[in-house]
Amino acid sequence: MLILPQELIAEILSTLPVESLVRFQCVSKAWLSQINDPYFIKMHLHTNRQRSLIGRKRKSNRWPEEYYLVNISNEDRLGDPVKIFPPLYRSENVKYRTSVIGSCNGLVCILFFCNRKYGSHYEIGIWNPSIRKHRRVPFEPVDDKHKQGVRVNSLNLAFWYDPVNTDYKVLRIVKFDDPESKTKSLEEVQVYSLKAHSWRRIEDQLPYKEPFIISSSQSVFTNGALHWFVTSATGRTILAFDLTTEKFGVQTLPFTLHSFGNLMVLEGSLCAYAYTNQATGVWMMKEYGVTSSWSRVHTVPLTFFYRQLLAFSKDGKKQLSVIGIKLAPESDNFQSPETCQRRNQVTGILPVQESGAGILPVPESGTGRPNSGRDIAGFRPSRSYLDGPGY
Amino acid sequence: MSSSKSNKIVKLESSDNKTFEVEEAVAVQSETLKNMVDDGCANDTIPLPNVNGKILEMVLGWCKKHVDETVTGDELNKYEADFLDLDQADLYGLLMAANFLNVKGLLDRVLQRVADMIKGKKPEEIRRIFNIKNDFTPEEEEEIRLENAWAFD
Repeated sequence: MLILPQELIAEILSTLPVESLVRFQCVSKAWLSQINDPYFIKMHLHTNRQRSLIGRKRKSNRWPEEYYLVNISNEDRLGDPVKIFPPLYRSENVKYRTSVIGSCNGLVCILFFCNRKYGSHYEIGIWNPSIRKHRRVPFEPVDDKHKQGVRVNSLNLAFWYDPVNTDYKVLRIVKFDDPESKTKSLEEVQVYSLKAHSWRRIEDQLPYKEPFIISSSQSVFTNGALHWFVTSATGRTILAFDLTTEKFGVQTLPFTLHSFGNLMVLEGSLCAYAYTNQATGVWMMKEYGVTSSWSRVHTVPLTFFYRQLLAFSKDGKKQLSVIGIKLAPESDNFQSPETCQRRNQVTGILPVQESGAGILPVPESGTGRPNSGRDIAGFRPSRSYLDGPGY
Repeated sequence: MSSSKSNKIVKLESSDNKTFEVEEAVAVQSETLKNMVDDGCANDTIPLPNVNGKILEMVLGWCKKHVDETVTGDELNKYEADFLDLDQADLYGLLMAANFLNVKGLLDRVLQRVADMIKGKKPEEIRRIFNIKNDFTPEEEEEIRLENAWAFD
């Protein structure tokens, strides 16, 4: 009878779907060890290029909320949605609602929140839906000198993979009432490291002297930094957080946004959907960091809300995307509209693969470029660890 | 690698003492054999004690097909698909041979075929196929199953 050398077994396993690997852990101790080996997990992530979408059914009054996994086949067809359950958090009979913050390398960062009578409460979890496991991020109170507890006004979160430290990180920007002054608002920035399983206050805090609000509900990643729209007395600017240096910067816009516009990424460049005096449409910053390089690239009708990439077709030439919460018109999709519409009804919202509130190219390998989305996140199934080194 | 005799013949002997003669261009589809040719070790019959005649014939057939310029892309695709329609024993023999002889395109295809065949199987079946002893205690195995019950439906 045949005995296969271990390296051939590893090669075969690296092409298998995660579900098979989970099952094959009980074949033997050698297989258990192989499947959980960090190097193998990395190899598997790069080899098994299964594209998947994860989404939450909108306006679902059921609890726990309904999440679905949809696989995209090699022939660029959407598979049937499979129901999955997010980690359940329940506190004093309060049911949390969820929102996806972002996903990387198969891990999904998910926000659990509930609005209670005296302020809202939230939890953050890092979830690998492919293996149905999750890790709760420890709750970190706002670093406040008075230690009396603060009233949180706004919360902005982002999730990404740091390849330098092989670590997954969560950024938290909290705005809260200054306990000493009812009118003033303070903010605090902390970063959580999955590896260290702890939070750390960022030294470089937000560079605004006047009151400001972060208007984007989620960040957009490009050029090694996260970006948000910020509204202050002086108008609307773009706040950038460099993931390597962990420093904030501000970029100005050459036009005035009369209404709320969305940030997005197209072809690797930062773009904004702007309702302005001069021209409504999609504007692109052609040269990163150069204010004068903003130019309009698309004129679109007002019904265009935001465009979110879900996935690329296998040959990379076509995209599956969402406009607002409906799937984009036929010319943009690699599926026929009827199929897309059917999926849309079933799941409500389809998840996004590796994209920000705009569009990011799908990385060739698991470089962990982050994406963020509210109800949507696409990802590649992996056996990424929740308590060990990241990939 | 150019050879002064462009139709040099390479002689191979399988584990069950069958001999095969193929052109050098066919033989060097195998990296292993290519190295031997380059090192000048291919002048006598090359023994292949871990590949039997049936499998070796299949591998050489694959190599021949891939150097044949008259074969179209479509024909090659069909050939490759039909080629892998084998029973389990032959498939694994082929896998070992493709690995040992390092025939690149063939190894990838066989690995994929094996992966497709096993991905939906149960652990017991996997053990039978690969001749693996279950070294878990019943309790240990049960723990893994319980922890990941969703994967075992």
